[in-house]
Amino acid sequence: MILRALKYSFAQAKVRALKSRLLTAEDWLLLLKRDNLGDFLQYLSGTEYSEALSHVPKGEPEPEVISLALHDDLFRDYAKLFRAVPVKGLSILKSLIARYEAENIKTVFRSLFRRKTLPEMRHFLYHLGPVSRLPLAEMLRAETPEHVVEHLRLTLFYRSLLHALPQWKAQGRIFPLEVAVDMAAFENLAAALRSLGTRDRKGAEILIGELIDFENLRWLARFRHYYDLPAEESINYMLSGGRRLGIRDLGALARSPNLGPFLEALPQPYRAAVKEARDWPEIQPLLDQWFLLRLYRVFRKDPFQIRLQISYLLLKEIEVKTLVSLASALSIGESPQEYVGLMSMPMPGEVRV
Amino acid sequence: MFSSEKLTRVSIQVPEEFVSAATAALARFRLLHLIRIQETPLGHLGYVAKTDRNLLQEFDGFFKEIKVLLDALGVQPEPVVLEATVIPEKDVFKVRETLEAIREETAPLVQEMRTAEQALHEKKALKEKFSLLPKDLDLSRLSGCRFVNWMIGLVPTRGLEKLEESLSEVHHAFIHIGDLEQRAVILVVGLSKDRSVFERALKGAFFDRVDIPEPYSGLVGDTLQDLDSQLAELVEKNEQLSLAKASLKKKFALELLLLKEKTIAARQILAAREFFGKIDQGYLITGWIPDRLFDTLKEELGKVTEGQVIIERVDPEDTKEVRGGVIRMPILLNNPLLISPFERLTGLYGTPRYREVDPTLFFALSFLLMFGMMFGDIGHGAVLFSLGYVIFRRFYRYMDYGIILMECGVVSALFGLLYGSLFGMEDIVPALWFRPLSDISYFVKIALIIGIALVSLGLALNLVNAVRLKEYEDLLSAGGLAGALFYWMLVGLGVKYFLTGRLAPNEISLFAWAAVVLALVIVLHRPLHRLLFKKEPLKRVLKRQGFFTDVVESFVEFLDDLIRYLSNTISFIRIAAFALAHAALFIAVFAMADVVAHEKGGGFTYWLVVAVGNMAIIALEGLVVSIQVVRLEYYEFFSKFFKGGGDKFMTFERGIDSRERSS
Repeated sequence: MILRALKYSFAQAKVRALKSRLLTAEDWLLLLKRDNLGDFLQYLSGTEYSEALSHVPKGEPEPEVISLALHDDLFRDYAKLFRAVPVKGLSILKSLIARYEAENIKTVFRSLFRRKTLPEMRHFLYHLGPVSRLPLAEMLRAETPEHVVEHLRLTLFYRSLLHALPQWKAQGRIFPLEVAVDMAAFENLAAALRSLGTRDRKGAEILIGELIDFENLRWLARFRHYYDLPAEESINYMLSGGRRLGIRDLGALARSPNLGPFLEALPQPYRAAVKEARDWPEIQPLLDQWFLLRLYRVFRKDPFQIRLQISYLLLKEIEVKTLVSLASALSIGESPQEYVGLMSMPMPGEVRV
Repeated sequence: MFSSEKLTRVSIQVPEEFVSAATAALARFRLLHLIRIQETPLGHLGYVAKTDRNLLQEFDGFFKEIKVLLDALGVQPEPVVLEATVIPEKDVFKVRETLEAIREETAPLVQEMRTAEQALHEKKALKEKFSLLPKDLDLSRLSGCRFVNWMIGLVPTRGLEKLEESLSEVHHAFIHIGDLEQRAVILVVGLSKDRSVFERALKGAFFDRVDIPEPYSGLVGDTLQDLDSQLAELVEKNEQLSLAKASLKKKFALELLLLKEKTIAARQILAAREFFGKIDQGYLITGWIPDRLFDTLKEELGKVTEGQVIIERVDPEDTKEVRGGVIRMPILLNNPLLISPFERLTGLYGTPRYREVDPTLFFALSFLLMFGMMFGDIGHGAVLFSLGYVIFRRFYRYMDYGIILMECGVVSALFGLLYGSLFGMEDIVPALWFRPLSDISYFVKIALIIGIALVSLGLALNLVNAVRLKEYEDLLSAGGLAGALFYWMLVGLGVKYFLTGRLAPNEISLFAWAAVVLALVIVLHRPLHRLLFKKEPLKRVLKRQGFFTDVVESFVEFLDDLIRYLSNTISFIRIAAFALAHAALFIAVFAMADVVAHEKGGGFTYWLVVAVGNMAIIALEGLVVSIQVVRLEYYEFFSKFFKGGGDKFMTFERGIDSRERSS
């Protein structure tokens, strides 16, 4: 215990300092009342996001530009925690950032597919900076997805992409490559757990397992009911390493014809968490609300474990994603208050902060 | 040798019809550091030459095609000399025509070779696929199935469980045939009516289907035999084509190599024009060359332009911009062959400024001395020398490191002779000087003497730099003459005390008085500089804003430098420490060899351990010693006098390359 306390004392103090800078319930209430993007950004400029937003052009910037800028703040926190956590805990944080590396790889694939120019490609890339080791410059110079894959030879994405290349060629679309990248990123999370010490692993396993469960549920809803993919195909895209959803459960969920049987097939406590869902889009915010509670609960437990840093980063991620959703709503002239039900905000009354 | 090469600035005016010839001559001359006219006042007025981009692109195209042809014919790169001057505007037609003629003659063969290569590749891939299947699998029986569908292919091993689940609602069977690079080779069998379900599931599982082409049926083993015979035929055909290729290679190799050189030269000439200025029908080229080569360049340019060139030499001292620091002179170091490789290591620290002492010679000599002392062994020296020789002969790019390694090998062997050590064995060669482990305190003294000598040399070179660069304020500071005197007095007293064990009272009082005077000079060096060198009145110096801050700052600097000089000197004890570690490692290796020989018996294991141990010492200790020597050079020696910050001289070719890369 003393050794753990020594190892994690700086990292946990750092996380607590960072957590104190998350948006407060008052911030959320005031942000929800903004009715134009300019006011929304002005308010955010007075918060922790001021530095990230200082590079955003004035006026009515595109939602993508705002999203990238807000994510910059998240990546800065990653960089800070990379420096603070003990070496053994670093691998799991690096695996968390790999999900954003996956997003950048997918952006490169899409840009190649749509024949975008280099500046257009760069426009949509997350600015991961020193927290990522992707050979981005080489990837951007690549002329085909095969070349991109070749440049990724030394990364965790290579093997998975190599296996997906035949399907890319057979189907003539980049979807198999996109799925392969995502699967590689999440499966690496499960693999990174193995490098942790016993206590760290036990704590982190629960959080990562639940994160993978929710990702599977989100993907299932998307594949089956938005993209209309058949069940037998969707099942193969599921991630292993979930906490409560094994491959049999996911198979049953994938075969559910509509929302009712889907909710019935969910194991507890997920079923209780989403029982109020009336439509597919409502599942995600309900799950996020449940997950937020779990993340906040970590801060009341033994702080000398890597799960504290994971919890903070996931909390911050949800915060950033919610802000991006609000900004997107405002940029198309919609009032954020209409979408409150579809967003997850750590606010009093819904989440005990 | 102690200064960089004396450079002079040249301005060359050449008529348009001779610009290519002049550029080619400059490319051959090499030692011209081009200045981009666009960045000079003339350039700002718009007198800038333009490059013919289309022509440049055409030569780029030629270059690519020539490379393809050279590769296809298997021609190895060889240096060839162009006899005539390249004039891109004229030569483009010659190159185009020659290339067309070569293309006409080689195209059918190249095409045929490609087809044969592709066929060979395809057959090999097919064989690889068939090799995955069991030899007794009868493909005709599978093809004959009416109600059953089957597929053979690869899926990621980690996805097998998911594939099983996705097919759990339909009748199916999996046969796991084998594994290949984290993928499972499977034969999937199901009912024909469920074919679409299978296809969807396999799509999701990243199934890589092994297509069995129509003509292949029967046992897999027979098919493999059939493929082997087809492959043999293709190999034979390829050999025949290779003979034809050899005759074409003989015919065109030299011509293609000459074309390649010509294309490179033409590209260089065209790209160089980005640097030139243009006024009416004349081009203006300006840059830096070694002063001693001015006449050679003038003569060469006069020859290629039939005397129609105006070349002016401007002494940097006469150039206002150089004196004012607006234009920085590039630095071209000029050291002898055995010393120049060390320029790479000094370059890592910095490039000397114009007039600053070039430290390469001192670096090289002290590096070799310290390396030899720390790594003294005849055998190890021989190994390092051999390694360096291999690098020198085989790896052109790392030739400099090869030379450094060879020199290290020689000094290591010399010190090995002095220490009487051959691969750690001390009973074969008598020690000409002493054995490090036998007299540790003596070695420490030697190391300290080297430390004092190098720190003193650093201080002396700093004085030279201060005078050369007219930085007189530094002369009075702790890093200058005053600090050096202080250090030398302190060292003198210390040496006398260690030699005689006592100091005379008058020596101590003399030192105390001198120390007080020097300390005062150091602390007040900024006001004194204003008084003595700038001739400012005393009243103004005393009333100047920041007077006390300067004094306090100088006092802190004085204490800091004093401590630094002493710690820098003591730091050289590591020479003795690492030499002792080198010797101690040998003891460890021989002790281990004794233990192993005792356990396993026989002399072979003993010598095996000795050999492996020696290799480990050469690899690890060699690396550690190199790092330590470089550290001593950079931190203890260079920090005394070498500030760097100069611009490296770029040869004509490199200047153009770096410009092209940056644009």
